[in-house]
Amino acid sequence: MGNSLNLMLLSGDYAKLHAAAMVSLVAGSLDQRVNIFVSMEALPGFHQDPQIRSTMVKGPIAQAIVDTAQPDYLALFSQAKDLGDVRLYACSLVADIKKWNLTDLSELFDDMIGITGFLGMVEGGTSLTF
Amino acid sequence: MPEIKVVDARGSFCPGPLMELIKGIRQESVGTILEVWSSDRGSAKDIPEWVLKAGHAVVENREDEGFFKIQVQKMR
Repeated sequence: MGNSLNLMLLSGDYAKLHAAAMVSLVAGSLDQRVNIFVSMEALPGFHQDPQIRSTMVKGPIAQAIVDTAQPDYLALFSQAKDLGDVRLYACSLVADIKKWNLTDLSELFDDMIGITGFLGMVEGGTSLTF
Repeated sequence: MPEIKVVDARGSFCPGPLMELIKGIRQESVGTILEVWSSDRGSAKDIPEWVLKAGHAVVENREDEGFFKIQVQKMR
């Protein structure tokens, strides 16, 4: 686990989710284990309901990415999981508050856990927050 | 000289050309050379960086006819 890349996705900014997805994709393709904890304003971006996902904030660059028909961040995370050892965890706090189950969220998630569980899991390695 | 297999990723934005290379290289046997065609300027630097970290080799990297041609040999 010492060489793992650990990402915390907290922002509801579409561009940050896209950037995190690209980082995951490249790191995963280079055989680096990637652990991703999705919490706070980022979790709605992974809901099955497109209307809830659409609440992600798009600045001009994010809008340009969407307009150029790039694969969206969900597709990039999916590719990352296909290429490498990339695992996503949904935050149980936000899910409890919103009364969401794992089945309400993207199939990308491996599990729903709390922050303590995530921190215990990712001891060591490099951590980034988006 | 082994056959060169072209991966035409022109029109695709970062990290699309790299992803096309990764998909292609996984399907080929060791020693195969793939030539990625990319109109994305970042690819000319990003792809060689990934290739070295992944343990493969850059054979050639040039701009030709308005796009980049990056030859990569699968080494493992």
